[in-house]
Amino acid sequence: MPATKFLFWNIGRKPLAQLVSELAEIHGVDVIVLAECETEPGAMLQALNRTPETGFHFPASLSQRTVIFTRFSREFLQPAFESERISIRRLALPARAPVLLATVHLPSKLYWSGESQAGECFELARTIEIEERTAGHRRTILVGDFNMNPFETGVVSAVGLNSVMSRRVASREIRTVQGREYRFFYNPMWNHFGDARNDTAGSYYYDAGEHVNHYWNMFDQVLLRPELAEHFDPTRLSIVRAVGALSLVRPDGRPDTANGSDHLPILFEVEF
Amino acid sequence: MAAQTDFWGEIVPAEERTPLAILREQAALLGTKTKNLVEATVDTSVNPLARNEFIHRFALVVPSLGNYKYELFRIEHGVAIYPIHTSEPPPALGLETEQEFVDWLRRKLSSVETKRIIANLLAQAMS
Repeated sequence: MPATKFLFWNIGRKPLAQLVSELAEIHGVDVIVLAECETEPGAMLQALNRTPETGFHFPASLSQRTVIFTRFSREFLQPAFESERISIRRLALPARAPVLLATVHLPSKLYWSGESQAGECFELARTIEIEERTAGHRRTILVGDFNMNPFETGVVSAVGLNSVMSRRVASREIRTVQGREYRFFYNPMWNHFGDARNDTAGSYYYDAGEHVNHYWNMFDQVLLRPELAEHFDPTRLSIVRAVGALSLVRPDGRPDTANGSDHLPILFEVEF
Repeated sequence: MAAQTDFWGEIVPAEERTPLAILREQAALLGTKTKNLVEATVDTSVNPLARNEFIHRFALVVPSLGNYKYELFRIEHGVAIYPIHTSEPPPALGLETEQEFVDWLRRKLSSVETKRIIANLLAQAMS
């Protein structure tokens, strides 16, 4: 099956169009999803399409918190559901199985309690279920800045996104709680916690100065339904630490806001 | 029982390039010239007033301006394809051949008026 390469990056309201463009070019990205992008779509297109070979398109959306640029013609990416923070689109490429691409930027911990964040995930899960029923398949890619870690209630709860760290567990497709069935997501971001690879132990660093402090967080995530997870290679997912010669991290591994954003980009490939 | 006789004979698509294919070719070329700030689309429908006629609407689209759409022109033709009637003169009587249609389309797309419209849309998309 052909692989499609995705890039997600919360660019933190910074003018990083040139860097996004270089990143997309270096890695041959097909679909770019950005959060906190204050660069006008026209300016971003100019940066992305500085060479005639690239040809990124901007499929407009009512959703304001995430924007998408894609090498695919706009007609292949049609809106299914849109709200301020959630956009679900039907990605239907010629001779390929259609997928749903859900992009999110969920409310921040600065303003929302963990309980409210979890509640938002319950609603998000319901919305995705509805759109999957309408689409007639469950090949859903959910990506974005969740402002929650993969272990938090909204992300793991059965009534929430019901995401697990294991493809084997996710391949069961559903779990039953009190006689009710809930569909799994696979969350490959679990593989990227900690400092086994390098000093960058997550996608976002925050020193909370309170008793419970994880320091490193994985707010930027991609979740896949089992049908897509089955063909997903976790080694094809990375947290990006450099764009060419330019480092996006400081010597201690934390995001370098002088060069990039306070969030690090994630790159991944999905076969469908 | 006698075998059924096939009155249809062999059926193959017409070899000539259709106006729709020509319009789509030209539509696809615009995006590469404008870094996809201004794109062109062709929407095809059936003429509600003359059910056996096709209408192809050629429009400019600016995705970054909320998918702003400007219909540059439209053409109509029947199942015989030619003559093609354009939404604006000249010629008022219709285009009788592929060459006449291509010549008309070239004049239309490269006209001062079309370039002015695209330039204005580009300026807005970039601002």
